[in-house]
Amino acid sequence: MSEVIVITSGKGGVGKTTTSANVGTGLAMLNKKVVLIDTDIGLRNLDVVLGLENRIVYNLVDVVEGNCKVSQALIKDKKYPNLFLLPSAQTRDKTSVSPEQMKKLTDELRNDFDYILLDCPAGIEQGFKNAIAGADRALVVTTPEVSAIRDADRIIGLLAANELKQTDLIINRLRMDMVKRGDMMNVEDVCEILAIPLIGVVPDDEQIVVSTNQGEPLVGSNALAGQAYMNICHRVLGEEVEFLDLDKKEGVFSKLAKIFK
Amino acid sequence: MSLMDFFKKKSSGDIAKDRLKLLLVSDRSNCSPELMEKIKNDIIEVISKYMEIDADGLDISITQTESDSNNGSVPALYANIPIKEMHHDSKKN
Amino acid sequence: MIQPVIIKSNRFGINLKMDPDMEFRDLMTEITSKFIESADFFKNAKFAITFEGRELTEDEESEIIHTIQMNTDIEIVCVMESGTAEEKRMEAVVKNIIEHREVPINSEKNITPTENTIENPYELASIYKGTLRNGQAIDSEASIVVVGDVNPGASVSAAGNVIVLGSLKGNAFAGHNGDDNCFVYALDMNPMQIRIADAIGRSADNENGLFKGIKNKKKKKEESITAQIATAIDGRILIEPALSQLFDRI
Repeated sequence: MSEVIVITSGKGGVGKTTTSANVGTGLAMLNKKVVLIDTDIGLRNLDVVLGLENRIVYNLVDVVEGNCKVSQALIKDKKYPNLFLLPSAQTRDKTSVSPEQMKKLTDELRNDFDYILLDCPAGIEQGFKNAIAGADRALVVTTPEVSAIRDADRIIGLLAANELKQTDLIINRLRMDMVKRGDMMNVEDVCEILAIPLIGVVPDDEQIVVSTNQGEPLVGSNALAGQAYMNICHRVLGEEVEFLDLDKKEGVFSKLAKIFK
Repeated sequence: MSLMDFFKKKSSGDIAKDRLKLLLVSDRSNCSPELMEKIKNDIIEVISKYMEIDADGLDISITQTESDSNNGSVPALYANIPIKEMHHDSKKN
Repeated sequence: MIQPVIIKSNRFGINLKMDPDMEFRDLMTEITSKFIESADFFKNAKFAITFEGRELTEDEESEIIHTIQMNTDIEIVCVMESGTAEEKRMEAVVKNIIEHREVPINSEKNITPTENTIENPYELASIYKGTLRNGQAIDSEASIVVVGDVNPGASVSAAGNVIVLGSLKGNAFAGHNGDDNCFVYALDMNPMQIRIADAIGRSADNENGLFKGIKNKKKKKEESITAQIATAIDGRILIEPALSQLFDRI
């Protein structure tokens, strides 16, 4: 049975595209057949993060407008033959596609893929509506910052109004050193506020920048963020995986602080 | 207030959390700052009939509280009203 | 004629071909909308203009020029006379070539610019000045010359050749009507993708177009950058330094 998952956040720059690339690649590494759809028409980036930008001939708008077949527009990943990308159009805008067309497309792709992942643009306008139209479930990405969390809360409300089956939270770019100092909200704080199931915590990791530079997702590597993404993939598949031991480094002081509270 | 607050200043993480909690409740309930201001003024007017209160120190906000009936949390109006002096004469009325 | 108004570029500037039977008022509306459409493409270019397809009175001519200058930033520097014997001959040759889809190879004998223009339609080129950025795309039914850079995510497409007098880091598509004799030329050849007719070539995966530039910056400063030219050979794209002996082949 295939599943359509939208990766969204509301706010820009919190790591939707990086998360899409890593979760998509990770699921393909776990032998699932995966297609990643970049729905950010006009500002495409998933192709660059995956290192496939030089292979684009047709795009999402071409498919929707019937200029080519879906199979012609799908780009096979360099490393994982189970992984495909449907790139977005660069010279068009969000109004080139409608929610109905997106739903039709994702339904069509269900026949051939286990997972259809949609990388959603920032904002709550047409691009967002397109991305969630055909989705069964959502991964909401946020960082532990007030602006990102506030936007995530709005998005969660909108997703609920659209009756998605399941909505899970990914906390991205957590900095344990700052959490320890008390200068960043911790995982519990964010979960308490947003009150949806947590599916992953990804530490802030400079290897992410390196991997984006190279166009090769970090998932599966030994880097902490790579492990965190792989764990998310296992949880997406419904497996129980313990959360990474980011907290262990929390140290004596903050534990003492908790006792005092 | 936790004991920690005596030892050190509130950390920015906690400040963020507290600000967000309030902000999101008003976001979710569509309660505008103007409306809150009106409620605040009405409260001052009513309470002032019975006691002298510190209008500047008055603090009202909407927070979440555990609901008794179902297990979810529901919004609640929270008001902290410092009293300066009780109007004893009001009892006569 | 299918379209009542056609704007063509020639080596002097632009050639406005008009429906001979249409009411002049209706024609004016067509002309105005045509130029508004292409205002972005021409930008503030200076052009000579030639009229073709119908006899115009002096008033009509100046009305057309007025509407062009009102609705675009184009500056019409002069009106060229049309219908001369030379232009008729040129038109005939161009038509002949377009129909037969053959590009004559320049021989040593006819190297005067005038005759060159007559024999090869792709030597009629649109000129674009400025940097093409991510998401921008230009297209021409002749050849196209970009005086500036083509950034990653930008694309230049032409029925004829694509010439980039700058750094080509985006996509270039020459011969988009299917002529595989067309070429792509760039002073700094670093494209994401090149297409010539049906052949597609892309940058090597380990030197992604976007970041190659950053990594090689030091190296490039020391070495001098050589202009390169891309041609299609047996359905594959071949990129090589643009040396003088190569010009015999294209």
